[in-house]
Amino acid sequence: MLKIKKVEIEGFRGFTQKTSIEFENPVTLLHGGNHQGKSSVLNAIEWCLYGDECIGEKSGIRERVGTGEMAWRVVNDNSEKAKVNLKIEGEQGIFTITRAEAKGKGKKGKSIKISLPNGTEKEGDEGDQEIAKLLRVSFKDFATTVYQHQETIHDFVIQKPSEQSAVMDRLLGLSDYRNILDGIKKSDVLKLQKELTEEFNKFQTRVQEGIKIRQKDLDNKRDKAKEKGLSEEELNENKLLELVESTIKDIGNFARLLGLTTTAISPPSDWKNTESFITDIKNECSRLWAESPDVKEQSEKQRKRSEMVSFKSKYETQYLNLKSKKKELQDFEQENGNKDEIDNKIRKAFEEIDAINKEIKRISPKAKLIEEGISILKLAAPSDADICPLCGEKVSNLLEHLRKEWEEKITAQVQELEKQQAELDKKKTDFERLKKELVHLEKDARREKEELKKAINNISEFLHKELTDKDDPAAILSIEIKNIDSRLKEIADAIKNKQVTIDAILEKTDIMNLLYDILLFKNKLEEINQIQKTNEYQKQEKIRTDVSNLVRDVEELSKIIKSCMLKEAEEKIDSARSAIGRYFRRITNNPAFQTLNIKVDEDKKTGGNFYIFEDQDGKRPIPVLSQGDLNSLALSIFLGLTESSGDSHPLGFILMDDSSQSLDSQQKARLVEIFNELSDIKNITVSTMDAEMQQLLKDNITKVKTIYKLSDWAPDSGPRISKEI
Amino acid sequence: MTYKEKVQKEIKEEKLRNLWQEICESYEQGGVEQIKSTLNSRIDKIKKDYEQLLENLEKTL
Repeated sequence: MLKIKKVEIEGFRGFTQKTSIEFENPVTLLHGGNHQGKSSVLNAIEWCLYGDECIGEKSGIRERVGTGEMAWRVVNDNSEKAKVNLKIEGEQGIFTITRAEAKGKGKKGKSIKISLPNGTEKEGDEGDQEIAKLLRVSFKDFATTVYQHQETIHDFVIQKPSEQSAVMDRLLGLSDYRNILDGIKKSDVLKLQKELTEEFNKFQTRVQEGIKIRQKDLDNKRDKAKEKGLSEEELNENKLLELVESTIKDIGNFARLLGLTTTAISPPSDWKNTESFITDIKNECSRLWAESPDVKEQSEKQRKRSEMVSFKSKYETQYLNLKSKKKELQDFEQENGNKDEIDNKIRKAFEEIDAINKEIKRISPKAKLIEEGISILKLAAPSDADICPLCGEKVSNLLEHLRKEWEEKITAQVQELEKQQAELDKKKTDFERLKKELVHLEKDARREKEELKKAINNISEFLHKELTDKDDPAAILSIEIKNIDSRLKEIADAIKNKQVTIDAILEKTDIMNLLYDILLFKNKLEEINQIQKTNEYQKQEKIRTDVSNLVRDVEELSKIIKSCMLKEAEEKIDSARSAIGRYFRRITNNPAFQTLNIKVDEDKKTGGNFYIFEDQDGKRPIPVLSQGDLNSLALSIFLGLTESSGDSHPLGFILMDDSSQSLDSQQKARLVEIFNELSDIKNITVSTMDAEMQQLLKDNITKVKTIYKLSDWAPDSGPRISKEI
Repeated sequence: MTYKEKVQKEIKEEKLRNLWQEICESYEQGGVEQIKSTLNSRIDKIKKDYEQLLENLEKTL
């Protein structure tokens, strides 16, 4: 059996500086507080032996799953390279295994080397193969029978009973099966068949809807065809082609009737081209109709008539406008006089104003003179009685008399004149306004007259006839319109027969259209009904069959995986059942459990294994077990599997990491007893932070032991390791 | 015997063996998520092709 002699660790996880630990005795105890590097020592051994297999999801260890910041890092944060050197002693001698990994270099930065006792060295893939040959234990078996990870105990203790099966799978080394089943379940393969079936059902529904719609359209067209006089037997391609032939003849006859030549229209090569044939026929009908002499004349006459009506209407409107303006001018002149009379009135007003102005001017110097006279008289202190120079009367106070005379006579006279002048000014303004109005009215009347003249000229030009003032253009136009109406009636009678012919042709095109639609819808319905024969349909059938096969394969494979997983669990439990029960009874020493039976079955819900623990009475103890009992159960499974792997197990050592986490003092003591017995056949390395466990191991292990204390861990140096004797 | 060999031993059909091989390779490469993505990438094309076929068929309606 292979036994570890020494491990040298540098730059690996908690270890920065190179550290050496020897395992020269049957029992090695690693103790110290949390995060001092105890587990890193065991991890280093595992990593050196199995490399990347013990990292990530496939390791079955949850803390090693994750990438980036969450990743379980091999290389210490303060180192560029991790290196572990392991010396293992076998029957042939000492094997030295060195595994290294450089930070951030990927696969290129990884190396492995094994030195055999005969001095041969093997590296790389050959090195890994040589190690596998030497160990003869897979990583999974190593994790279930050699290295008891603290996580498996911890998980078993804290998980709900329903989730303990997953932990049991890990304890039994079945994580790969479980992970693969999870991966398959997470994929969309099993859902795909359902999705495709749903898609297909939707498609089928749309096909049925399509058939209904087309059938409805077809029935509708059939009804219309029957309304047009076609029988059910006639709703076919022959009838359509028959109509095509006769329409071509009809068009020829129609052209001849009009005295025109027809453009050659070829019959469609196949009924599917009827649509363009119908369009050609309709276009030809329109062309022939437009080019027919009668129709041309009719069109020309209609255009001319329309123009005459418009000219007549414009003339009549203009005539009425002029008449209205003239009346307005006449009324104005009757009321206010004509232009000459208004001019006279204005002139007269001017003259009167002028006369008043003169009078005012005449009186004003006289007033000035009197005003000055009064001033002189005031200065000369005239006598009290005198003769007034104005009125010639003798007055007692001439000065006062003069002032009164000036005020009463001259001022009043001027005021009167100014009043008259203002009235005359107003009159003059009114006359001027009237004159302006008159001018405006005359201008309007002239303009209307011009417009009327233009309307007459237009009519004259249109009719190619000289019109004098004596002519009544409206009457002339009325006669012309009457003549055109008469001619239009003659033309309408003449083209009536032709219209009947063209209507008959167009009616045929409608029937052809109906027949074409009917054939088209029938064809479409046929296509839909025959959809299953199309390549696309066959291909989709094949895809559904392929998917169904794939789903069946995946289900079949899942079944095989489950069955293998179940079988392996059963085999492992069968081989270790009695040892597990024994260890469990021994560690717990619980009189309630005389036997502990483990059964395994398939969990229909999760697809994994489902484990049932029963006591001697068939009762299930898990829900009532204490954390210590659960811890004992997990340890018992590990120890049971270790024992069941037999003496032939190539590895002569076991690694126990924090085994006593939830055990009480007595359970710990009993576990130490077991370790002591096991140390007869295997070297045991126990890592613990539990001071009581440490003391129990020191006191009760009867074999030679090495004790290492790990403490004072620092990032740049790692832990301080002291060896206790 | 590893889990891979144990399952392999139970498989009778060649195509199941190939599928198992593919799943194992994916698992070893990238774990559970890789299995999921390998299987999904296989069916993504099938889904796309199927949708395209139905789309073409619907055009005939």
